[in-house]
Amino acid sequence: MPLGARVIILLAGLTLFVLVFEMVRKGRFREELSVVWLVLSVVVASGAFLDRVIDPIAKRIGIYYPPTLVFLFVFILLLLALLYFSIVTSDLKGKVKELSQKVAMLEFQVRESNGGKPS
Amino acid sequence: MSSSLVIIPAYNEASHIGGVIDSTRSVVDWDLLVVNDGSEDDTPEVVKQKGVYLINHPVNLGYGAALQTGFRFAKERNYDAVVTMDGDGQHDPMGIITLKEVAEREGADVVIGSRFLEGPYRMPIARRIGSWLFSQIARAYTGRSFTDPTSGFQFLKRRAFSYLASSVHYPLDYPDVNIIILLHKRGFKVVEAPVRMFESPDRDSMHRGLSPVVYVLRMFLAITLILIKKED
Repeated sequence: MPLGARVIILLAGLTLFVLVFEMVRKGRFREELSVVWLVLSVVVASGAFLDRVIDPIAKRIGIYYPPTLVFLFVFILLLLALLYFSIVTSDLKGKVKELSQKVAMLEFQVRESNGGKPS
Repeated sequence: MSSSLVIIPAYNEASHIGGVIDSTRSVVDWDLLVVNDGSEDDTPEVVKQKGVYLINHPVNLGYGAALQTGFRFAKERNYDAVVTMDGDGQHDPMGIITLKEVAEREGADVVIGSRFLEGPYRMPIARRIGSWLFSQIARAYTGRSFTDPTSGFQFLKRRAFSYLASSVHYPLDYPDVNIIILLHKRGFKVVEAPVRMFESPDRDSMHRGLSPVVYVLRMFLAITLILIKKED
């Protein structure tokens, strides 16, 4: 693997790791959700040194420039990460709906108990 | 307290909701509930002046979520029947009487008011095509013809709206033919009846924004899930 490609891959992984770690440390990113990104960053960074593993696999499946396999692998991991976060968002959406409806009903009951038609 | 309730979801309908309430009251002596879906205009203030029930969502959840809040209210208060109407003045309140009569005559749990049975009605062509396609699917599954499956003008008896009140399948945005299929699958009788709706192409606001292709794909997915899933 060319040195330039190795450096870029390593820097990308390390940068992502540090970025995510800092956001967790500052409380801007929930710990349990950050694990996906931290694992992803380690996988990216390690890709810079796994050419002994990557090169033969790439050649076997017909990819003539092995770093392409790294990017392909990372792309697939990103898709899975996006899927995971879509599921989390979907779950949150349902919970927000439930909570909002309960709040609305409770507010109605409070107005009603304070007397008169709650409108 | 009446045994029947009119549910009106409303989002930014300050200019129409007062008229809708007045015209509905002139037709039926039912309780009225407006579900304010996080309006940013004076909708709640207008409703308060009319002295009807008002529930306020803290945030905008969507038309379907507002309807479901209305169903939950009706279930908790033991109403026997509800009619859902849009808050933009599109639905002629006289249709409430028609829907109720058809429900009693047919022994139906749900009666959907169809604008197309009453007479010609202009609708954007893309929406018309989508509506036709899914009404064919509903017909294939239920054996009944549904000309206006997206109609928000509906009559529901207690067992139907009580089921929908807690259904996880009820969408946040627009209940559609998938809900008709869901109700049929669960053993509810769903029929259609002619009602008059006033055309307001620029005010079809609750159903704007969803491109036809996305709408078709979503409906296919929703219908497939309902057909293959077991109980809620």
